[in-house]
Amino acid sequence: MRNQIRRRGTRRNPIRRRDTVSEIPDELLLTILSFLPSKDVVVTSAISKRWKSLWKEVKTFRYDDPYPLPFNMFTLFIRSRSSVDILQLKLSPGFSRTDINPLVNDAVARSLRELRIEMLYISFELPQCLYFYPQLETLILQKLSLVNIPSNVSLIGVKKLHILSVRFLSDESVIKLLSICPLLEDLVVRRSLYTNVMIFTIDVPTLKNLYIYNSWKSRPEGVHGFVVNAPSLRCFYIKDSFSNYLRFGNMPELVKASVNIVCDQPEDILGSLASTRYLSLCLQSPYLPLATSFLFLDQLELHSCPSQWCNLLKDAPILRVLKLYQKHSQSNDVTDSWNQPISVPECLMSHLEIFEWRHYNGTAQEREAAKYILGNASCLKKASFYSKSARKHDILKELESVERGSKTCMLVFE
Amino acid sequence: MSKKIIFESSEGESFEVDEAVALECQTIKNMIEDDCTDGGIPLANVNSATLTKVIDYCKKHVEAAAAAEANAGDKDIYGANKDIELKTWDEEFVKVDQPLLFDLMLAANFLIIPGLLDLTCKTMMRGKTVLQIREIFHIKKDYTDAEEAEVRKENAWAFE
Repeated sequence: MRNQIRRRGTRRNPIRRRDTVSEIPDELLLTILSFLPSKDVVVTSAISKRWKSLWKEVKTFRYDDPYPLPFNMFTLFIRSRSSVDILQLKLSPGFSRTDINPLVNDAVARSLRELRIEMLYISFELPQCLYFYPQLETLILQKLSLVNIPSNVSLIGVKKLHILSVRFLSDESVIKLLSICPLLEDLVVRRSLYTNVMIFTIDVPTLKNLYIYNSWKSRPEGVHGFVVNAPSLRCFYIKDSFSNYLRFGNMPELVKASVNIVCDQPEDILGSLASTRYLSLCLQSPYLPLATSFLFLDQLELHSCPSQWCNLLKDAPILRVLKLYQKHSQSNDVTDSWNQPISVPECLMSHLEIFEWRHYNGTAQEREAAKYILGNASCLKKASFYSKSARKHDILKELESVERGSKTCMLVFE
Repeated sequence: MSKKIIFESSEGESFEVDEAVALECQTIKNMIEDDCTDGGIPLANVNSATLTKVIDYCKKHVEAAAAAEANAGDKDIYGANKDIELKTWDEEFVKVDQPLLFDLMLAANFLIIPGLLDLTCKTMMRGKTVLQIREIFHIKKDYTDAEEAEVRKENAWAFE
């Protein structure tokens, strides 16, 4: 019956080749236009009558240098608009504050909400008009050299700040910039060779989401790292293979954390993450500390981790989902090491429902761990093993014969 | 086995996908949450060729998210280079003829797949002249020559 109805429905809408723009709603056309540089947006006015005024609705303005449009023409264009929502500038060397400031001024006068500036490491001073301007919510600074952050100013509306490979005068400049954003909720930091900061201090009581990218292959000379003190943080992402100094304060509101770091003393780091419900961990450290309790941890993803990883099971009494991912070419793979716990962890007896193991190779160690978890997890609903090994068939067959602690557990092999 | 969702294209062809893949589409996600996906989901305005591509896209992005060491907040990161491989894949993915690109965009819009919508929109008109856009999208020029000249004159700076 269902099928019949559906077929009739299909017949009423005969298959057509939808290859004319005339079928697209204006809303979608505006989305398309918002990805184009402003000059190309205006050019669409010559397409047809429908397009004649459409470009006037686009509130995102992009200028990418080199670009076949003089900058002063772009400035005049902005001045001719009644409302500027988003301004994105990608400028090459040669632009100075005398070019940029009047433009940003005009955009601010037209209700600017988001500003993005990329400048290839030219000295850049935040235009005065941005201070105490409440409507600016998002500020994205990329590859520029930020100088002269005055005292007694405030970016009062800014909730999202991205500092991507921004060069600072000193460690203090970072502290100063963050201190003038009283409402900051989202912060993205990407460090690069030119950043010129030893310790990034992120001391922001309002911060909810923090993303840190700092992955180079080399190890630093001297002390480099991050100090994070963000007690309202809910989501924390850090991928940092470079820093040798990481200090995190308490994060009692933390829900989601993804931590991929190199660190010599992981106690404090793990302690700061204790409240999280979701944890993805890739930890290059000589050992795993005992007795960090993750009382609320619901999902755990383990990538690289020291050999005592099964302790984490003991420390996470309500863990429901466990995922193991083997990372190649690292000495301390999760899967290389298995120390059977003395007593069965609480989460296995009462909470673990989903167990997933990617790149399972069926080594003796792995087999022991898999057997132990399958044998003791009494409420397991689904266990999945993914193998690329040549002996895949045998490996998986072997698992199938393992006695399972849960009678209702479904086994999936891929 | 993991739960499967069945899509039906405008030609009536069935496509079985993992629930996780279907969840990439906000529209489908809502349907799954409302528990109204039994017996398949008819997509009267998405043809098989397009649906195949859409499913490829969702699969790839689900796999990438699973394989990525973590998946927190990727969307917000401008120009982060952690997903170079996926970006390259995306770029290759949209190297299709214009009609298919167009259908993909409409499907992404209808199924609400933000990543695919951005990707197709971005590609749609990039670097095209007025004549090319008219030709590609079969838009009839309904201006008289005088009217078009007038429009071009109004914003002459953009046409230089």
